[in-house]
Amino acid sequence: MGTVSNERSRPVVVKRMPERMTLPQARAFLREVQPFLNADRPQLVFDLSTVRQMDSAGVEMLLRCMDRAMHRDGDVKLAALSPQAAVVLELSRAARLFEIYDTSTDAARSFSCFLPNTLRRNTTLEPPAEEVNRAA
Amino acid sequence: MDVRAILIVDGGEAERFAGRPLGLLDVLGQPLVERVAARLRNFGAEKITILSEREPFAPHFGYPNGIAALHWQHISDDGLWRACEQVFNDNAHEGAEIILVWRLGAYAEVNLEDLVQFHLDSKNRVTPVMDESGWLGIFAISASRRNDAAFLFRHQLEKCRIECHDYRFAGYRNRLSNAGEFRQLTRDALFRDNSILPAGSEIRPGVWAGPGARIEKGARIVAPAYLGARSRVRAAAVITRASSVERYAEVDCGTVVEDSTVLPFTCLGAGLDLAQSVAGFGRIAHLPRKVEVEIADSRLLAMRPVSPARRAAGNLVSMASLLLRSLPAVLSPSPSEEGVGAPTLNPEKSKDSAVGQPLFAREHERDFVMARRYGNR
Repeated sequence: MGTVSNERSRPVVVKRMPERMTLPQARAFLREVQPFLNADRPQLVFDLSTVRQMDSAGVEMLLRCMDRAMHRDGDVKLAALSPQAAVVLELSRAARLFEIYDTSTDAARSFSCFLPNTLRRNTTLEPPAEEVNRAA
Repeated sequence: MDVRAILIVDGGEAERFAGRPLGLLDVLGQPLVERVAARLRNFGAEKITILSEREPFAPHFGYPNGIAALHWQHISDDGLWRACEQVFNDNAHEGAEIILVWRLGAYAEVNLEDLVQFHLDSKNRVTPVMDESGWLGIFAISASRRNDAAFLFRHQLEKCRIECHDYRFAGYRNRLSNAGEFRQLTRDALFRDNSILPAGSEIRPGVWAGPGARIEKGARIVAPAYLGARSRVRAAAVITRASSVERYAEVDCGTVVEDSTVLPFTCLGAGLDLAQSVAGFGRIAHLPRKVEVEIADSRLLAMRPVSPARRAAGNLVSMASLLLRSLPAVLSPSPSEEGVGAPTLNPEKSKDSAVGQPLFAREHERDFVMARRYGNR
């Protein structure tokens, strides 16, 4: 977990999600981030680059985090979606509820200023250009 | 140098939405025609005349200093090009040296100074602006060349009288040939791919709101997004993926607006899912399907009255009807006193007028709509 301070001097908490995001892991993850969600105007970034398996419990957990952050006038953003996570989030139509960035750094910076070039524009099922190049 | 401009707002069948030319519709809080006019004014055009074959609706929308302040001429269908010729001649008489003719039509961020300089340097009579697909409908014409201008107008800006050097343009342009391209223009503006700025202030990174925009608690706005002046996003609604809710529009509870534009004065009903569409004037253009559908049901899509007095009267009527409807509930004893506090499906009780429905359904009857929280729950 990392913490970045933005220009408005409120910390942005960056948390990497585990490889598996099923019910037990989702519960444990929610417990871990609970203190940050209870802060005033929480700003969280979840890094999903290592997620290989995600089910409805994982999606539900993300929605719950978003809900709690919104209640406290904060926000949750997603970064570096793995293809597996992207597929599940699109399938459940939860992807449209989040701002999704290519890297955690961009996501953290986006709390202080709008970064149109780093924001994923369309449905995230198509991989970013870097991944395509790497595969080639 | 006296440079003037003629802005022609018309469109073929495809270049319209709900029968209106796309150039008249709002893009992030301001009609596109007004944005182009402002661009011409900033360049230094002495006089801008707008010719439209349709009644302009924007002045009725409460923009007294916007379109209404420009020289607007409403022309019938068949007289448009003749009127262009007349306005051109009038401008030439008044001493104009170069007249810019812009058909909206295409939106292009042409450097007008560069265009005029190119026109002068190449000693053209008429200089058309073109990209790799052809002419964009933007011309610089020497005011003294009336015959060339007349020829151009008589051929609806598709043919020049004599060969001329084209001004090649490779910057941002959008031909606005259908509702999809109109939506693309809004999306590009939100992603800052063009120079169109949202009319309003940035309330948080990537989210712009005009004056008086209201976001109810529990509504989610995912950047980039735009909320026009006096628009309203009700609880549990979601505005996401570069969507734009234009002035005085309203998005009801639980409705998701994804990659879409909600045009001014449009009310979207509760619990809907509007994706990749342009909605307004009682119609929805679904962009992937390339189809425009008329929606007659006001619970799905409705228009708010344009006049403020009518809006106020409508609010009063709806408030009075709500009071009248709730009055019997206030005067009659509460359900718990009658011993029917819990929902029931008891067959014995279903014999009476309650007809076996759960209490929940009886209370809400027809006007009840299930609203999904964030559109996903």
